[in-house]
Amino acid sequence: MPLLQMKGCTIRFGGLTAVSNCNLALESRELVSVIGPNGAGKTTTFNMATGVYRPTEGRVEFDGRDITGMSPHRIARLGIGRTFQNIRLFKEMTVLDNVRTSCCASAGYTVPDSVFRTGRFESREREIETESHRLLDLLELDRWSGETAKALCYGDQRRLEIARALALHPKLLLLDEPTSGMNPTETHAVTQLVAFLRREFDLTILLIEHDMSLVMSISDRVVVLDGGVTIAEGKPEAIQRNPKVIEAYLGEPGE
Amino acid sequence: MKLGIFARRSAATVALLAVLYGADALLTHTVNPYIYDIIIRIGITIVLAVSLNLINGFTGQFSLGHAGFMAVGGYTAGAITYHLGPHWLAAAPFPEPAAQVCLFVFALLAGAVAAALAGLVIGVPSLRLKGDYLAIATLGFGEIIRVMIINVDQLLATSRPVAERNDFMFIGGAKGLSGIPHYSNFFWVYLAAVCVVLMVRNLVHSSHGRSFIAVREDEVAAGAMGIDTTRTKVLAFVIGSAWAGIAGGLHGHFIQGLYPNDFTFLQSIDIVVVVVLGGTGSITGSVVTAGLLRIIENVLRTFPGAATVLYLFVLGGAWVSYARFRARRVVWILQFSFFAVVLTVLLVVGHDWIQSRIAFLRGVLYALLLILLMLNRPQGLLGKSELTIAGVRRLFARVTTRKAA
Repeated sequence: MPLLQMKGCTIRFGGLTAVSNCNLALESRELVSVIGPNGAGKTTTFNMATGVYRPTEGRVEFDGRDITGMSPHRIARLGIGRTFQNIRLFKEMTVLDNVRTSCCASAGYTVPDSVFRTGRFESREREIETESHRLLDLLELDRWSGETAKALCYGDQRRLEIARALALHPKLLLLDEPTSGMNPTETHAVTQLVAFLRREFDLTILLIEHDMSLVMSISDRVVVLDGGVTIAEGKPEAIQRNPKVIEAYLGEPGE
Repeated sequence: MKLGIFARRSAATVALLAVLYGADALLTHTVNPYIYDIIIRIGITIVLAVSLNLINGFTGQFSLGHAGFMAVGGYTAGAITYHLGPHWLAAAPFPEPAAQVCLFVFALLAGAVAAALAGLVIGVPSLRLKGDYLAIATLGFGEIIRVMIINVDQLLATSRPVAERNDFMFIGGAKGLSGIPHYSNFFWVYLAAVCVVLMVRNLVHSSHGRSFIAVREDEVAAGAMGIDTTRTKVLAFVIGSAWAGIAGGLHGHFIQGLYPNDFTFLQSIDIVVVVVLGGTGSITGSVVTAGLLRIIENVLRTFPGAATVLYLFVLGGAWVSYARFRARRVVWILQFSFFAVVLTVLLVVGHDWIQSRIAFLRGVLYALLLILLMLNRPQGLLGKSELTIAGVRRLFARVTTRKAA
């Protein structure tokens, strides 16, 4: 059974059909990339999977459950973590707090616990802190844990977003252009990081990416969107040779 | 032997109560009633500002309805002591002072619960709105509460026989509810202030607080990180409203009356001003500013006070110009002395004129002060940071070493 399955998902904003009839199935531990020109509907597909948008038609299933139209926080707690195309960190919070925040869903103590600083509060907070430091350490961010998130450099902010998503203990991680605005060296580092995290956490990963070197080197499968329509799907090598894909990216063959 | 956490906390609580009680006794015997009155008002403003800071500052939901919740709590508490108080005091199985304390605490808590419920009812629909829209909605709800209070007596009176209608009184309508017993004093007001500060501080440094701040920082990201954003906003709103309710109860039992005109949106804005000036997201900022603004307000009531504030303006302005424009010291001293002399002459010449228009000038000066503060420190006095003993020591150390260098 696939971990994430989108069946015939269509979303319209007024007269504009942003994504039409998207069928996507992700097996457990698979790494699938979604590529396509700008405005193809990649991020919209992400937003349908994470509950930011409710599809106009179709169903989204995760881990055998129907999550269509479920609110984002419930979907997140079920085990879908994500990052954003334009970094959306909690800027004024410290690096550590950014990660601790997303452990909150499972904080396991109540308002009176935090007001009266009960034993349960103290022990849970210690656990959350240890866990957060471990994640930060893994992503080589621990030395910045006391800084505000906005003070980090761009690449570190991207990594912090991933750390924050991992704090949810997700089964599925959605990465929205993790290398945008990065140079080849940094992109290479991200490629290795994604591969490492996948092994380390047994993750299923859905990746939106423009950098073909990254996509072709780590994807199990590639899905190509154009104008909201899935135009191709398959192994990276097959996609590279697919005439439709080449057309979408390079335009129609000359006259 | 190391004390257990429970023993330590009990000791701290007893010590706090003793200190507050002692300070209360000391103040009532030493300071004149006018000063005592200001001190109490500062305390009530602290409760209001810190609780509003939880909503506006930490959770980032701009609410303009705090006076409305203050009214709900105040009227609930006031109605309880006014209507039920005499019966209870007559029937209570223990001596009068103890019975009074029970009655007052019960009334305050009932006020808190009523205000929290009002916060829940108003918060659930309006917290779907953001920014300006939320501000307008909460402002509207605050006014609705006030108008309801004005009319509730007339509405209830219709169920009475015609002859009794004129004498019917429940919460006094537009006339206000006067004759509430004088229960609030330094002890109760500052106990509430300490409690609200501790509660908000503890909440902010917990997963709940991180959720509040995360919602302020980025609602979409907060949702994607498993935070129930609606629940988080409503929680902040309800807790903030409950404390506004307690502040209302303290207010009513201090001025011994409740009047609908004390709870207009101007009162809400007054609290917002304290929060914004102190720094949205700074508890100590709200506390310090609550004290500062209440003091300035009262200082401006008299000629010498207003003159002092004017001098402080010149001094502050000079300091800012020196720091910002790096003026040469000689030029700066000349400018500064020039303005000081001009001001002194104006004050001496215009003494009688100013004296006769002090009420008008007070409004102008107060507004001017707020504008200047916002221009120079848009993030508020303390921004998002807190005033700590260690911080003050660091600042002090920096100032002294700079002098030495």
